[in-house]
Amino acid sequence: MNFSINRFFSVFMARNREFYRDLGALGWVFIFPFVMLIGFNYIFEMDHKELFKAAWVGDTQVLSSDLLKDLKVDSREEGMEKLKFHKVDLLVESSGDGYQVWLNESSPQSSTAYEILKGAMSEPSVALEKNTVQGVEIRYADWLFPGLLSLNILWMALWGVGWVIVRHRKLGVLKRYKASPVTPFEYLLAQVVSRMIVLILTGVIVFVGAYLIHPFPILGSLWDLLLVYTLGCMCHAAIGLVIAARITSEELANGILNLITYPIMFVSEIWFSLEGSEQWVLDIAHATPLWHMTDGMRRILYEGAGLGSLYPSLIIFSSITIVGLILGSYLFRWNPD
Amino acid sequence: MTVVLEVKNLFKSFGAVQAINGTSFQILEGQCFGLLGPNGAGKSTTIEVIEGVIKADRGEVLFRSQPFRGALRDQMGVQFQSTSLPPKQTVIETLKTFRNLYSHGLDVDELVELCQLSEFVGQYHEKISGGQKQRLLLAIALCNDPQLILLDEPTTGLDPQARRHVWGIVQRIKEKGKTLILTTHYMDEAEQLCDDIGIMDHGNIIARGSPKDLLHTHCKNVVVYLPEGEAAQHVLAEKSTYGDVYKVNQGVEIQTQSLNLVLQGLSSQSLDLSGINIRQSNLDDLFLQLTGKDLRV
Repeated sequence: MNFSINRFFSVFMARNREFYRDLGALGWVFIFPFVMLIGFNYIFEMDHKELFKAAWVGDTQVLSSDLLKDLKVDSREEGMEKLKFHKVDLLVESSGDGYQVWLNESSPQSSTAYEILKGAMSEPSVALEKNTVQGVEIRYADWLFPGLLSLNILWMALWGVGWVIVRHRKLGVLKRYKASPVTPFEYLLAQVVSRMIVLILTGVIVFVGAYLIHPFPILGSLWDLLLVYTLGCMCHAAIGLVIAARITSEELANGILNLITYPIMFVSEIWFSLEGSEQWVLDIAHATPLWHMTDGMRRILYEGAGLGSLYPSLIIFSSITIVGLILGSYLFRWNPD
Repeated sequence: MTVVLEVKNLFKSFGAVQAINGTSFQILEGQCFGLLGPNGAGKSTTIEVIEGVIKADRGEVLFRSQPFRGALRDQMGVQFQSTSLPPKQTVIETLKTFRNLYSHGLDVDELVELCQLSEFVGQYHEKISGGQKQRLLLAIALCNDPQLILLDEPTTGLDPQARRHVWGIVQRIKEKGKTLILTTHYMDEAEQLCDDIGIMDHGNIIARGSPKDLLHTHCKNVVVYLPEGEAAQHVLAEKSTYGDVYKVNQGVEIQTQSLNLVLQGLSSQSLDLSGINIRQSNLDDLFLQLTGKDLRV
């Protein structure tokens, strides 16, 4: 391949200047995750949700309320994990004549769910033994934070690469580049690498900032976290390349990007757990790189997971990145046909 | 002289519109070749096919007898009629960005000096005037010190002073022995800069030659213009006496090769001749004669 580092670097630097001199975009990139984090944390601290999830060890009972969604878990340990990571709001297990109930004290939903459960008991005489989950305390904001980072990446990677290329094409910037020796691969790689630096820098600043505002547990390796984050970013930037390969209309690009991002957002466990959802919803979720990214970061931070257990996600990120770069370069057109 | 560029039997259509219709021409080394024509004549499409920005349906473009593609394109510099530059860059950053895309070329300082950019190198290119922008685009076209330079309407929309500024730079480029292709619909620009002219209409070249040859061959007449009034009415009434008489905007024009006879005829009638204008017919008149259209339509 006829690759020139000088040509790549020249386009890369031009793209960097274009980004950091756009103060509106720059501010948005750094401020958005903080605003989301604070906003959602506030909303969920204040909001009394109408639907709560109770995990039952063994068979579910008929005592519970319509406000409680009952889920079956096979063991107390499995239920504890789910409770600890906000996948369920309560854990209930038969105990003699009554039930043992575990709450997550860091979850405002958990105590509400407990009150609903108590009220729903048809026989007040049934004994409820209240316990709290042990181990690392994970608040909702902690659980939410990796999701917000992923969401930021989804938008910044897809729009920051895909939409920018479409805009360059529409303005005629690509026409000017075409009359020079720069190759599509050099141009596209410059866009991806430039965006990667922004994403990594943003990620680090937001991570440190969020930690200082709202300290959260870090059980795993930060290097592992950085790797998952970086590969996830590359993967989404590569998807942006493919989308932008030929489109000339910013409106069409926006529409396609929205069409892709909205469903992904809702199935990637960014704001809420999909525990207990239909299998097909879970299958879709597990097919999206955003879910792997969010899940991977949560597992590293709050479960101390290592790369060994996350390798399927890493393979997915790498594969999509390689295919995206190759396909994006192949499909790429400088001009509207 | 060596043929630098040869365009052979080029065709290009956009849907039902035949933009280029079998155009062929050769350009000699060191010459400035002007492609003239009204909007829609096919000038810019021809230039963009040569640049490689769009593909021709048929025909070929040869650079020094080789198909003009791949590394040979590094020998070419392009100034587009309509294009944008990477946003939010200063003039000097833009110039360096494009200079660094080539392995060889002129120093950035040399480009700044040649295209007279020094007064505004630190400004964002979005903020500079139209004339300054054209000079920057010209500098970018010269980044790689090309042998062949394509300038697509480099002075369209510029005021007279800015146009002459650009002309001065093009003259300096010519003095360096570069080969240029220039599209324009300004005849004075073509007469000033071009050694060779092709007049295009409906996607084909309908007349070709040096400005002097074209004028000598096709524009032997003198044009006498009379504003509306007594004299103009007299000329219209006595058309047969004066030869080729045309009603034009706010007056009449007489095209003649016998200026003395026309002036004598007018003088003998004791008419008010204030506002009379006499000029040699030019390439605008030639274009009108060849195509029936004003060149700038």
